[in-house]
Amino acid sequence: MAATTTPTTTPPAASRTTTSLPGRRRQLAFVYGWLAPILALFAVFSLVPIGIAVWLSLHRYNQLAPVSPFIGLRNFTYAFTDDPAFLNSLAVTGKYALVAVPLNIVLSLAVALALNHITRLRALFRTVFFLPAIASAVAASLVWVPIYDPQAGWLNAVLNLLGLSGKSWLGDPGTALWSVMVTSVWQDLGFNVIVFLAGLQAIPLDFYDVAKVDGAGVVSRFRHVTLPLLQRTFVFVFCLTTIGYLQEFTRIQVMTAGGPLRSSETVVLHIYQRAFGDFQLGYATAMSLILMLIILVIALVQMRILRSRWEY
Amino acid sequence: MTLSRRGFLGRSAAGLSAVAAGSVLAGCSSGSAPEGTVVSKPVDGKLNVTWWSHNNPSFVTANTTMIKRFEAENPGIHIVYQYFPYDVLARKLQAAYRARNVADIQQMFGTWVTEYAVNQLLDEVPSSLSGSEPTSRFWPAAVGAYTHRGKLYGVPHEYNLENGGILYNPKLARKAGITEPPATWADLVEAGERLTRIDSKGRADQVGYAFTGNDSITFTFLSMILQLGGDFWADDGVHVDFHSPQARKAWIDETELVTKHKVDNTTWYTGDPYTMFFRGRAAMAHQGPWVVASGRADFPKFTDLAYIAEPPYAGDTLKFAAESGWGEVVNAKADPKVREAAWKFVGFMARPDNARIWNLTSATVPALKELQDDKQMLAKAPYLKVPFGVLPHGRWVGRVHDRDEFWTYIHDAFVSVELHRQDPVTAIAEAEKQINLMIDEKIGP
Repeated sequence: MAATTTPTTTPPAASRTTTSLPGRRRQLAFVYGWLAPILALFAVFSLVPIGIAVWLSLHRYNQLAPVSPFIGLRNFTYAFTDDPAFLNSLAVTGKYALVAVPLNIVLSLAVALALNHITRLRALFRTVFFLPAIASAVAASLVWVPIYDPQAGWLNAVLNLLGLSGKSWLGDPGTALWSVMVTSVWQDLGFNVIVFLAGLQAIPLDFYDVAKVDGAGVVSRFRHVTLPLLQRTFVFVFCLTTIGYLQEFTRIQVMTAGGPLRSSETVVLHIYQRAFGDFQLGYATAMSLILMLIILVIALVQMRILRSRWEY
Repeated sequence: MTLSRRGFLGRSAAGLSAVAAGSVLAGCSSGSAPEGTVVSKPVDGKLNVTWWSHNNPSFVTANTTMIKRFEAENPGIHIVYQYFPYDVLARKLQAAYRARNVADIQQMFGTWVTEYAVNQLLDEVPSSLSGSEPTSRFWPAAVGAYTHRGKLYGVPHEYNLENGGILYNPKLARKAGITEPPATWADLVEAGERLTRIDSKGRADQVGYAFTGNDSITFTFLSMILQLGGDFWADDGVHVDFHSPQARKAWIDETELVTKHKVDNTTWYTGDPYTMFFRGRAAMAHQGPWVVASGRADFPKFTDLAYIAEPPYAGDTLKFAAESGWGEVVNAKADPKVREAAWKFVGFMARPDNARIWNLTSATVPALKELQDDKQMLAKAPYLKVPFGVLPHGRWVGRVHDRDEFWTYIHDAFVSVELHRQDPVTAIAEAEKQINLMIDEKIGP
């Protein structure tokens, strides 16, 4: 007779790792115990300030007044309906990022490609390009202000030597933003060059060898090997550079203070002036939250578009 | 970016006045402070009264001189003094009042005071100090921002002038065939035209009348309205009105100084009008008397300097609006004994013999009426003769709410006309609209 036996099955892999309830609790306690300090730091320095910022943005906050009345979304609607300077600053920031980000990336990639192909003095050139990046933005701006001086600056002096007439680069609404942009790209180039160079040097040479065997030329190798394999580096550089330029403040503050005629007033500068010049902290916080949302959306879109679906 | 007097105070490296250097300052030195400098600490057994001020070296020297003199007369009271950079002080005061850990006495810029007074944070000045009427002792322009609903909430130490005087380079004038300083507005415009030199590229080698700094544009505009018999405040006393015939005429005439007469241009140089003057690149410059001492300190080799009276634009007196300058306020929440001692010290500083020293040392114009045409002051600072002459014609500018925004809107309107981006009437109407929106936002629903 066939013995009826309860089939004994080997426990599934998952159940082998399953621990008893008290054991799991101990594990969780261990994990949360170790995470607690960083969670506390995150709560104190990120969540609480964000919460306070949201609270501030919904109030007419005057540090000196005994009460700060709740005004709902008035600060947000005010930004878009009664403060043309805010809309102007959004446009200025957009223009700044739209031009400076591609310019920075194209130039830094070109420099990185050039550095990747030289062996002699590469370290020297890398250092030269990186040096401005380690200078403070204030120092870099102070170097460029006299260069742009309409009377004694060497930019106009060179133009005059060439028979061209100079300009008041920082004093003319038509050129002020572009002049600061040049300084920004000059200063920030080095950082992206280093990142791109690292990305380029991480690409296995085998890919290029195979491409060469298949008859791919320089342009084709760049188009079909270098660019796709740099995609992860692109995402990193693109997001960081865009976020940096959307938050541009120091160079603008030092070189033009947002003028003339607010032609170079970026959003962060406008927020700063409202917060610490006019002490409209509630309104400034509302603008900060608007900027945060804009940056968040742009960063997510960039990461979505540029995401990489493969590994090598 | 141009430098206002308030901005100038932010420069920690500001030079000491020539007057002060030669007289009161001997033996005293003060450097710039990184964030805040403690000059003295509380002393056991004495009534300690704390005092905050900004860090401009000449002001610090004037303040420490006052402390020494006061403590010599009042050995039971000790002033615990601390000073901060201008910007830090402005923010620290707001935060400290909020946190209720503010000094007993603070040196405040007049324009700041009203906001604190409105929110009942300041102690009312005792009648023994203010007199029956604040304006009986102090000039109305100096005391305006310290007054709220007829009560005085601080004691001004200076009359913050931007109008009344013009830096004048006699050497450049003589070279252009001008033998006498301009006595009328027409003379001023004509001299400005003759003293402007434009190179082949269309830029000015030399500016005839530098006045396009942020402060001068606004103060000149307001002054011109008043001289035409108009007012820049609307009937409600809260909003501005730049639609009056006087405001329009003043604005058109002011903008024509650059669009038609071309005596200055906001884009020809990036420095401040007064530094252009002391570099010999501007023959005349519109600036308050504070700049004489600063310019002498910063440009010691420059000697072609005269400080002449600003000719009236209309009528025979130079009516003008002025901000209230630096003075002392006392924390309303301080201990009553401390408050009493604090007012004693503030009153001591406002005594004419002490005020004279303070004003000379800080290179400021006295807020005390009694010191007008003071012989001792004129002997040490002869350039004060010009501002002394106009003091009675000034009035307080009024509650501008947000000083920087108010000035910026007018400045930007001026530049947009100069650059032909807007016609004058549209530009000033836009400035009026923005200023009134700002005021509405500040007042709230």
